Amino acid sequence: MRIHGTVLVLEEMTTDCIEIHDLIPAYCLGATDPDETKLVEAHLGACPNAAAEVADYLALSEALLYSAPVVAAPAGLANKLVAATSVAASPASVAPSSQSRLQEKGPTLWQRFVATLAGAGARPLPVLAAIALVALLAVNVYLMTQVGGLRGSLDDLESRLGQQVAVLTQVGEGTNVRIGLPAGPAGVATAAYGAIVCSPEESQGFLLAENMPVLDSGEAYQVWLGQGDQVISVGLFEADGAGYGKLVFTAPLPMGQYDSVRVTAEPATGSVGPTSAPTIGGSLYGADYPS
Amino acid sequence: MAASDTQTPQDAADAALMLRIVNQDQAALMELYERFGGQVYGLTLRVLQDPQLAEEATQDTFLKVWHKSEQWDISRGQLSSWLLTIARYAAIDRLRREQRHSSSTGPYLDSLADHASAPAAFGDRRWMDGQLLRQYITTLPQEQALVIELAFFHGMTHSELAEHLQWPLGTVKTRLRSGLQKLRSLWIESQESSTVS
Repeated sequence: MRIHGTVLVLEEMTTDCIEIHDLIPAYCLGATDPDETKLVEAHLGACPNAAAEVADYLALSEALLYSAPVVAAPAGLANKLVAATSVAASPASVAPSSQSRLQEKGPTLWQRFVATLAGAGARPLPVLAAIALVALLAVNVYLMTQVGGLRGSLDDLESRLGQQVAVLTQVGEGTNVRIGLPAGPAGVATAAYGAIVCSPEESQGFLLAENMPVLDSGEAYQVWLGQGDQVISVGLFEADGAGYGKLVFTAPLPMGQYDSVRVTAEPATGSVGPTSAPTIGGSLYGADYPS
Repeated sequence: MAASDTQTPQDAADAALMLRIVNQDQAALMELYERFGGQVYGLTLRVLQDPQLAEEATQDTFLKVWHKSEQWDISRGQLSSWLLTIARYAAIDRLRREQRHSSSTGPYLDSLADHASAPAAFGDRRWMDGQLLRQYITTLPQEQALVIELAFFHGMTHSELAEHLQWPLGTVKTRLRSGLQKLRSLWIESQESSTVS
């Protein structure tokens, strides 16, 4: 047994060595002060016995991790995790004045967007890019305030900004295609419709929706991508009073790996899987992706 | 030792699950949560003694796994141990932020038996080892059990313990060392007896 061997070896140690060995139990628990920690770590490289003792006490420390009683986590935590790990942006947080100002000037953002992708009319790409840039910057501000309380979120936000810029770049370059999303059972009454803009080789996408039914407070629209029998959430968004909503998202895989998309009404914190009939949705597989 | 790291089918399953999480598979994260959520929440609750803060620390833990999943290395330890280590530090960080270091020392030891254990962990050897250690801690002299509790679950160092408990620094060091040495001896003896029997 190692502890007996350690005791024998201790007899051959110097006083300093023994003092350092005395710190090892606390060191393995993380309870040594910084100067003590340096002493122990400097000693470890030169003393195999100390290293062996550290290994033993680290095992004890690891076992202590399991000494807490197992307690069922709160019921809503799973949904919170789903929402927090979804790449979501709420258009409700975009300054309403900006949005209404845009709508007062004739064609809606949606109409400009569709016209651009369909190649109709003049070349409003600079306008579209500017509008989208303003919207995406506003969304980004929202994201920063929402996840500010989460540790380690800065990297995530930077990543999201990069994704949004990537989507903007793709839209501007015309490498994406538009896929229409007709009304599902829950969207027929309001003639809801939408479109998703993406490239089969890229994981970023941009979803726009119009005429979406107004949801109760505490609800939001959740976007799902289907892959065979499995669906994954790529984010939540809210529709405004006019039924308009949008979402910039990043899927785990390139969009060409998915065969369907659907948007369902869910609790605002998100659901693990769809719990209501689609408001809009459609097939991605075999859609009009460029060859 | 109890933490021998031979590869098992469970290790392979853990590796596959983590690979999915590295690829940002949300369903995989939820599988991880289903398996270990109770253990993580139990640990954070023990540290924080506050359900709301424990819930937040539990969420912090799984979000860190989601964002830093590539940092897990199966050769360096069990998935559950890695996860619980993250949970421990997440809870201690939150405890420090909330400045909730309590001057009371009773609840740390007394409240442990009040929580019902979820069945998922029953039969897991590491969990059983942990429960054994929990029992052994209660057999230690109270002052030794207290410093172990505060050092491990509240992340206090020697000098922080001395300040918190108003004990001389040397006394803190001696009691923590002696307590851990006894705890380790009891643990080793239990493993040897279980091996023989």
